[in-house]
Amino acid sequence: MKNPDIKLLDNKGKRLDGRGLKELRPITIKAGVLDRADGSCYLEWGGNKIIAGVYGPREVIPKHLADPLKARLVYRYNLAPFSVDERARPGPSRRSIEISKVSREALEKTVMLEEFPKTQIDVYVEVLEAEAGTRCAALTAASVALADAGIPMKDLVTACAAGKIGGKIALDLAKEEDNYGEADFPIAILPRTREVVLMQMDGNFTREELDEALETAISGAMQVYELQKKALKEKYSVEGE
Amino acid sequence: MKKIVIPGEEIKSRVREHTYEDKGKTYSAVYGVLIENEGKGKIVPLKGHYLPRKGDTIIGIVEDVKYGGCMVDINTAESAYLHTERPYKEADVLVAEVMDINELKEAKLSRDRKLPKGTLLEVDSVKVPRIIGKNNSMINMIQELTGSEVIVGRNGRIWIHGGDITKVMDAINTIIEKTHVSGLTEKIKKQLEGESE
Repeated sequence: MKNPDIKLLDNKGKRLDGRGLKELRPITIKAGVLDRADGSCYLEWGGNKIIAGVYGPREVIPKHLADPLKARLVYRYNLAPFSVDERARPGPSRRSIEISKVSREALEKTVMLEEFPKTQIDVYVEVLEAEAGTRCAALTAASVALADAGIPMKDLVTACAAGKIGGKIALDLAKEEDNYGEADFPIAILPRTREVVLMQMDGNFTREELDEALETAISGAMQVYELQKKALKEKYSVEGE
Repeated sequence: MKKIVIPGEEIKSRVREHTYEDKGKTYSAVYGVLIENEGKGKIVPLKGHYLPRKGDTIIGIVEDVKYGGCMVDINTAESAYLHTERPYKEADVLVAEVMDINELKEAKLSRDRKLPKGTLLEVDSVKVPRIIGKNNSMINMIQELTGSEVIVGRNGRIWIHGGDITKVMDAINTIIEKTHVSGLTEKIKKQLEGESE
């Protein structure tokens, strides 16, 4: 991954896109964008454009997969063929299957599945445009869509990545930083308790760097949480006393 | 005081439904409107899924006829069983009461009545209390002013028969759009009367 010819930090410590080390890319979140879905969310995170839809709780198909004690959560992360520079082959890939699995497990921690026995909740996340950090953005959008669908959950799930570029820990890596940087470290947390529900890593950190990266990523996720909250609260206005 | 709450938001007043407790504190479990009044409160979800409760009046569609009864789609993931001797056919629409639910939230129905040909609407079940109104005030008013017969099922199905069906549908759509506006019965009354003049 490391390439000595590419300088990811300038002399003033600014990044390629002019951000500081602990700055997020611009994020916009909008809840309830799809009419036919029970809950949905559209999210733009830097160059990422993601749409999430939630359907259910509905009948489990095939029927033998139904769990008599709790609902079954299905999470599908899909990278659109036109979302990346070189066309991605349509359909699930090794990468998207893995991301779907870890993201589903993160959401299972917070969604109150035991309320809907013998049913299935489908979460479909489509990445329309990708620019590094799609799994974090997808999970952030999915949890807003789940809340918008009226599904009981203990907390939202908020995700953010940290990484290492030019020997320094940075928040929310952009595409070049992800490709040529030294490490990428996406995490997802439950913002109320700051419990970590997803953690992956690509690259190398020292023990101290890992601690710093975790702290950086959590602080970034808390900023994302405020935006999720705002998106949900803005959708409806309350009149009266 | 009305306020929008999201999952995981701490709630200071006493709320029993749609919440969970952790370390002695109460948190909202849904995305909804919190209505607080002197330390007590309730949460009304903005969207929801119908879960059958004992005593609910529901409108169902017959899915499958079995010996001594039939399976009825009541707008839930799992269909309900109705024990009856009446000769139902598939796709018949009926109104019934939920007699019992089991651990899997499967319902058993009884006190059924077949509904004749009419118009069937489906709305989100969280809007149903607003459509019925306090002591049936809203639904009685709509029936009076339009001359239609309207049956509202707790599961979000509404059956309309006779009278001015479009006016009833317009009124219901207004209620759905303005669920959280106070003084809604008066507004609907004006809407219905205004158009008849």
